[in-house]
Amino acid sequence: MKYILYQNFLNIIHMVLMVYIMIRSYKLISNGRKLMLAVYFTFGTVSLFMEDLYWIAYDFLRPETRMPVAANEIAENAAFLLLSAVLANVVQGRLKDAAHELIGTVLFAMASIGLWIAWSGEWIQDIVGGIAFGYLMCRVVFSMKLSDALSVNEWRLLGLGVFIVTAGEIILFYVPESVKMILDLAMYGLMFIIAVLLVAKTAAEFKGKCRTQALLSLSFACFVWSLCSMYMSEKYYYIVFYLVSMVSHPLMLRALEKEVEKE
Amino acid sequence: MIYAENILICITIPLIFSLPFVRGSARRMIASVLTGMVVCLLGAYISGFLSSVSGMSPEDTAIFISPIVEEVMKLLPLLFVLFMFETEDRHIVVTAVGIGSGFATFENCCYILTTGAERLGYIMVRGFAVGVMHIVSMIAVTIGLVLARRYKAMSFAGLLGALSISTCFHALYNLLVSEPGVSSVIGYILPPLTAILLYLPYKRLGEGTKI
Repeated sequence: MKYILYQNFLNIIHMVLMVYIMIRSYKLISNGRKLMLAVYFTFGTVSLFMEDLYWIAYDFLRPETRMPVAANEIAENAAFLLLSAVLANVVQGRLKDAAHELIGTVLFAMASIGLWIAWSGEWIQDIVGGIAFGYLMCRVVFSMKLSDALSVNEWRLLGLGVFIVTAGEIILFYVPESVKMILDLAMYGLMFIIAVLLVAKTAAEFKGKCRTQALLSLSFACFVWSLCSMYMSEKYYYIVFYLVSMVSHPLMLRALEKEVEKE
Repeated sequence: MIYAENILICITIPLIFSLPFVRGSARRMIASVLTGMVVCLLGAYISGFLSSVSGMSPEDTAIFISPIVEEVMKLLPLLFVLFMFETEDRHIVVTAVGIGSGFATFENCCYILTTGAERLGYIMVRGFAVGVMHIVSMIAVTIGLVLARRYKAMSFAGLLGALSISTCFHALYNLLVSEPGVSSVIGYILPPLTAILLYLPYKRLGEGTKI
């Protein structure tokens, strides 16, 4: 019992955070302005809360047993889709305006799905989850591009960083153990730097121009990147990126509040 | 073994005969209850088929497969009404509640016939938990659908998201009640508690949006 509680300590903290976010976003619903955004965001938060709840309940009731169909992953996919719907309602435009970035994102999503399958061997779950997550990634990148959240050089840096991480993770399968440790550490370092830069960029946008669409896109990007990194990590690294994802939730909420207050 | 089809026929015939004698929302409600019962039976067929194909035990099927199948089956007639007819928001809510309650009623009937109805306390718990759970999950989805339609923000992603929430809620309930003890108690409390929590925003939203 104590072990399970210890193991799920972070999930419990995450759930508490989700409750707080739910209460705040519910206030946005009762506010009545831009209702759809608030409803989608609240439902997305509820999904993330239920994901944790199901995971903990399952761990208590059926420890160390495999889930043939993971309801917590269904909830996670629900969160991805609902959060995508938030962005879809905020930033609209033509796909060709962000064609290059979207192609890069799709390739990255496909590579990620391939890597997850290679690590876990769960074909169906990884493909289904990957499609939902890939859709959110595309939405985030599309919104970032259309809201001019990043400068040209920042886009290049981000693209290069993501490419190196993906290539590095693929190379890890083929290198000897001695190189593997160093390369693995370097990849974690790079993933962490990208996460920190995205959080810093979001914080700078809050303090600077405070363009609400860019804020929403950037805060969602923090969330998406932290999840990407979590899925590629294990042990302590996983915890670090989990903490980054917890930082991204209040940023997303605050950005949404700014967007709702705008009108 | 019970003959679910025979039970369905027995329960639905009086309801079918009542249809010509009622109008408006009452007719819509009865038709929705009937639909809920039928989709419950179809859902049981599909779950049974998937169970035998995958080789899962009945308990695992109830925890992992049934929530997905049942929530999809309940959503399909609602989507049909939503997209095929120019229905008012309040009618969609009536349809959703009818489907949810019909589904729960038929499921409870079959359950009682299988396990017996001697213990009133347990039967009441079952009624409050499962009965409310099916309605709660439908209401949650309906709120999302109605609002999405009202604000012209209906999207496939949003629709799937709403469906996934209800599926996870259902799966969580089934998981909790699958083990005796504290988890079952939490499982039985979960649907009525969620119904109360959901009623507050539902009422608040209803004031502004005439749901």
